[in-house]
Amino acid sequence: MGPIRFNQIAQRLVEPRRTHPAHMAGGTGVSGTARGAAPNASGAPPAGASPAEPPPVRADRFGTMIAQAVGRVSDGQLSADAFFERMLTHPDEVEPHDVSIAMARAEMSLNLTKTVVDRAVKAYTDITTMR
Amino acid sequence: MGLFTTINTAASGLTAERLRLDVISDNIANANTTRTAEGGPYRRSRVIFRPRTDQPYWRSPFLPEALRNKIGSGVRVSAIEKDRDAELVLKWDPTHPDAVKTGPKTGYVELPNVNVVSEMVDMISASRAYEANAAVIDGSKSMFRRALEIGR
Repeated sequence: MGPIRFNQIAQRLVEPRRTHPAHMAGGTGVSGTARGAAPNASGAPPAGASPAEPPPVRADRFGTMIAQAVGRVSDGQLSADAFFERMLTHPDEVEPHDVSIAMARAEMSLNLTKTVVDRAVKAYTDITTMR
Repeated sequence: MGLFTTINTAASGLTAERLRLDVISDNIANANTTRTAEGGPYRRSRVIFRPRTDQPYWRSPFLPEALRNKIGSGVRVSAIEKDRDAELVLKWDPTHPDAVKTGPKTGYVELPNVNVVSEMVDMISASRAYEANAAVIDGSKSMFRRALEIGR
């Protein structure tokens, strides 16, 4: 499982009904949007066959996705922690930049998740305060 | 084109430059070493880099497009080899235990072919290259931060 892609998450947030697993099968961030716009461009079904129905959208989809993302962010922070601890206990075996980079990664993942959650909450408050 | 691709690439550069600095410090530390396990004085080491890539190194017109070389993923150390081209330095010191006993060089001590001045220049070069790679990581981070602020 690679790092979470911002475009995929944004796409799932914006149009959850049109998203089906083929789009998330490992596309990169940039092409993910393009394939979302034209789903039949690459994997076109044979002529005459009806396109496959997208699976029903589960109610807990956003929740599970956020939970997974938070789990991954937590993993990143734990690995940064492990690096840091190792630098203190075995200073000869760890490169200083590896520690900084692990911390930078953890911070970036956390910021990404935080932004996604903030946007979702903002959308919710926008709707609840609508008048 | 992932979230951390740039950082991973720059990290390989950082590691490579660190290793280069290790080799330079080894050279400077052994600038006066006259006795080694393989015999003769110490010879300076050089680091040889090569690009790190997940794709095949060879080229062929039959290679599928998906396997062609695209953006590499940084640098890796190909080899650390001894410099046997540069001449050893000879110093007249007949009382030295490692002085040459026979032949035309009798009475001379063979000193390593380490030129401390050029090692210092290499060290500056390695430090600057390290800084450049660190700057790339900073740039990648600020780009990412800016991307999160889009539409806020």
